[in-house]
Amino acid sequence: MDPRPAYLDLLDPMALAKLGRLELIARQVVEGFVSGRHKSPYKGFSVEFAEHREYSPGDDIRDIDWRVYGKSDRYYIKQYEEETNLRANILLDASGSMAYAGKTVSKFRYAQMLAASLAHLMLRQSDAVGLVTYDSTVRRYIPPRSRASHLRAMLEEMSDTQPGGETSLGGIFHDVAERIFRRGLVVVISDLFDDVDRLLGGLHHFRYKRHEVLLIHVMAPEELTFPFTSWTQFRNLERADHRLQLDPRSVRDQYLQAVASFVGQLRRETGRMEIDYIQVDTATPFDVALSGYLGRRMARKKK
Amino acid sequence: MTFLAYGILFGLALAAIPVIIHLLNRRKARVIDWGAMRFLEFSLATRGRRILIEEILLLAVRTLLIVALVLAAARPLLVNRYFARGGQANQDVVILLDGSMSMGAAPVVGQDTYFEAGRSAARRAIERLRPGDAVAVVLAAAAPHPLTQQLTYDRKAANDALDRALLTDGTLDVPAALEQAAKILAQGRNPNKRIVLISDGRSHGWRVNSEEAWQSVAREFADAKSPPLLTVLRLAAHEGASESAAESRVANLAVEQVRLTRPVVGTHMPIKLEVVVRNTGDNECVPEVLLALRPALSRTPAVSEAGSPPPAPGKPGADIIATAALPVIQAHQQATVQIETQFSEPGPHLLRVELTNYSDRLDADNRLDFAVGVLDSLPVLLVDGDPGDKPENDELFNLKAAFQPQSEPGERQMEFLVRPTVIGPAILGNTTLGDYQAIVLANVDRLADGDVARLKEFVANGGGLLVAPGDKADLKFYNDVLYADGQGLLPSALAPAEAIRQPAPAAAGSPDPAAPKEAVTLMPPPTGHPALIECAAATWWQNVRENRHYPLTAPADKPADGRETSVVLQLSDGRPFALDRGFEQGRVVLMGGPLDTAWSPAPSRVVYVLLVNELMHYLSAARRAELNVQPGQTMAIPLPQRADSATAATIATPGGEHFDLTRVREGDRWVYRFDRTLDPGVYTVRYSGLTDVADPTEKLCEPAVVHYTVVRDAGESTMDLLDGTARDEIGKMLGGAQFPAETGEMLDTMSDYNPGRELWRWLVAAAMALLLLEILLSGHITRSRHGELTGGVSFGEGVKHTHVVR
Repeated sequence: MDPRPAYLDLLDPMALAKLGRLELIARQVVEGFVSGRHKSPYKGFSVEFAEHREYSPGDDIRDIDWRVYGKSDRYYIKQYEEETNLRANILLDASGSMAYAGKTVSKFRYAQMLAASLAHLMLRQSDAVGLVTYDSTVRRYIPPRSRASHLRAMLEEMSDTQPGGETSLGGIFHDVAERIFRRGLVVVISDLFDDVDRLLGGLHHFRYKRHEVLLIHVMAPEELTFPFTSWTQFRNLERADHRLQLDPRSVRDQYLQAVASFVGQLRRETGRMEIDYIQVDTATPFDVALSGYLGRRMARKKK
Repeated sequence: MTFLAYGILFGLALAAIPVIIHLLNRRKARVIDWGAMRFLEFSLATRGRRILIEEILLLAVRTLLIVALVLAAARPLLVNRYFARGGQANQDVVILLDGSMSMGAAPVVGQDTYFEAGRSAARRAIERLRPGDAVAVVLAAAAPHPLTQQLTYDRKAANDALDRALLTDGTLDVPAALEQAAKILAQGRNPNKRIVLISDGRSHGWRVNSEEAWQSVAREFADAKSPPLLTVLRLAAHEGASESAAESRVANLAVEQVRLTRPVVGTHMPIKLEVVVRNTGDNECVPEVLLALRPALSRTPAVSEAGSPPPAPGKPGADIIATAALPVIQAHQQATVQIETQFSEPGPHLLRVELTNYSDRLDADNRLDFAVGVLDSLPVLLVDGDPGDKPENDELFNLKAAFQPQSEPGERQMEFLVRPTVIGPAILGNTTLGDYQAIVLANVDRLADGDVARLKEFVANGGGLLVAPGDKADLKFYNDVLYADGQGLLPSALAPAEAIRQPAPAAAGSPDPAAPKEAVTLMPPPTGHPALIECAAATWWQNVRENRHYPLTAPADKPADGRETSVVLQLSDGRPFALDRGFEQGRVVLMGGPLDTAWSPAPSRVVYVLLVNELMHYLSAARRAELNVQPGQTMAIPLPQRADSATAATIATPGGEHFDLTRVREGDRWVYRFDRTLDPGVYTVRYSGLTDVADPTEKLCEPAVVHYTVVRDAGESTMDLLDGTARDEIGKMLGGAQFPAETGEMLDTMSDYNPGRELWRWLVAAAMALLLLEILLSGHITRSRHGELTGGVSFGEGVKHTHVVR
């Protein structure tokens, strides 16, 4: 028997090493008790030194410990604990459509790893992280905690979750928005296959509650290219009795137009609501996609 | 509308192929579990109907394309003269050139024969054919002979076939020729079918009274996809051949038949030939016509072995064996003339009877060839049931003397044909019966069961059996085993022997009141019998008394088993004394008494010698090969004694065709069978690989070349022409027939017959149009489905996701 727990598969050490240097910093003012990296409305709390870390390009040069440089002739960054009291909730879509895999890993697996990495990153920053899994209803809600042991509970929950059921993002978002009282970060990881208007309504509810929203849109390459050429029977992953048999070539053009229209509308509306909207396809290594986003986010914060 | 190639219509099933492919594609659809169904549904909602219309349109075009091609290949013919007007449909033509003997006549002395005129007319018909027309040439005689293997587009091949055509001695069989032509036309591909019969117009070959034959032809015509039209050119009215009244009223003598007066011909045996000559013309024949008998082929050397050059035809006037004067024969009358002759050499002889000092418009029937098999000896097995203690008491004493006559000193030793071999009943089982032509059971008491079976087999295979029971005979055996209620060998059961009362001599006192007033003698029956032709004269039989006999049962008029029994000899009071009945292929003669003088003084009379010899000749006839057969009769050619396993045989027909012969087992002997004997004339059998023998007589009896003949139909010599009524009847039965008066008219009729229009060109054009439409349609659909996307989905960090389908 493999002594390594299955949930640890969600954490890719290589990916985490890359992400470790890119802290998730709340772009907006969040409601918390620890001042530090995040702009907190609560001022006056002391800062406790945690450790040194070797400088890497992208780090703020103001954090360089010049004493250490004088002694060792090397650049080291000072890191602090309890720098923030960010509360983040990761909403992981476990609907049936997320099970689609194509030639890559399934969208759900990809989303699992994204969520796990983000959770790990935020907990390492001593942020509080919670998890919501859902399909047409909320399956499980784990409230945010900042304890290191909380990661294990979240990973186990993610690992045990299997995709299935229909999607109803709008209703879920409204439901979750009502449950979260303190302002914080809401991370939505989903293929977003729902009615656009209801979806945007749910997101708007988060923004209304002054949450910062990070919307990670996961799609498979086949869903973006529709490369099928022979007669195909498409079975709905969310409804067992629903299937379509057709010549894919005959509808490909219309299909891609529909997808492009959907994605374009999401991009426009999320920009209008100041929602961070990240599009990732499962063929792109998730650490590359995420690190790119985090790097831009940190750069925006420094400005 | 009809189709020239119905079978290809089965190809319409191919029209299902596009539908099947479509359905198979649907069945073979791969299954994908898909998440983004909402976009697919959206796509279908906007494009589904158009996709359906495109699919149905493409499917219909492809199906129609196949249907059009198959229909074009099936060659539909629109049978409608209105639509056919102006059409250029090609035709298949079968030219039937009459090759019967009467075509050898010339309309006018010194001009070409009908056959040559017919050949010229056929050539002109071939020249008149259009490109695309196909033609076959058939020599119509007793059996139709295709001169081209099938319809051909090669005019030279057709003309070469005409050059090869040879006149036959046979009779034209028009129904058979028309059936053969219809079969050839059925293989043709052109829509119009025509049969051109070029003949001298004699009525005999038309078989107008054979309703069955014409109904068969009518059926063949009616069953044809495109019924043929018959055109008959009668050469009697041939242009340039004026037939004056004087020329038409001519005598035409024909040697119609030659019969031998005896069933067996031996060397140095005087024989008579009965020659029937008929005058089929309208005038009496001129006097001083001689009938000559001579070899049909010169035989030098006398023995022709295989590989030697074929014998040359005999020259007129040379080698004449015998002649006879022909009486004046009136128009439509016949005369029978006898020619006496004899043969010095044994073996098969091919002879010709011909009219000399005479010529008429049809010379071919002024002669007749026939074959005669001349025997050197006739082996007969005599089974002696009562040898006696002295030669004069021997049961066969008189019989052996009858077969070996003694000549007076100083006279030439007489030779009879019969070569007797005498055995006792006990060794019958050890004797090879097949070595003999006939067997005589002389006063045999009884036979072993095995011997009876072998005797039955011998007779069944054509052997002859003479049974003469005497005082030794076991009546129960004869009646129970040999007669067996009519199922056995004997034609009658034997009643117990009884004495025949004869009138008492005048000096013997008071006459017996029960005795007849006149002597009871033996005599031939009033109707005669074939075995007694040479000894039927009443003077031979005077005072041939019989004193005792086994009463025989008179034959039934109509036997249930079809085996007719005839009386060979009878007593003068009408009771039968000798009966004859066939037993399968052989014959059995049962006498009412023995062959010695125990019961009758007859065996001591001269007529006895004639009687027993003629009976042996008669009984052995069935065992010998028939050298002259009727048209269509199968030749059974026996293997020579000199043949072994390496011996092979071929036969050449009068038309020059050669066939290898295959030996078959027939009863107790091997024979070659040949059944393509419709054409009259001489058939030549050549043996190869015969074992060599030193005895020249045996070589003569079994030469390496033997001639057989198929006798000629006498009707072919008649001059009657097919009348208008018969022409009308034939035309009505065949759905129309043309009888042009001359070649030019015939050629014109060949051009104006066009019963319908072929539609295959239109269908091919439609198929081409459909093919073009299919290409355009599928190209349009392909472009709309397979082209590279120009407006792909932009997703992620500036990445535009596109997928090019090739």
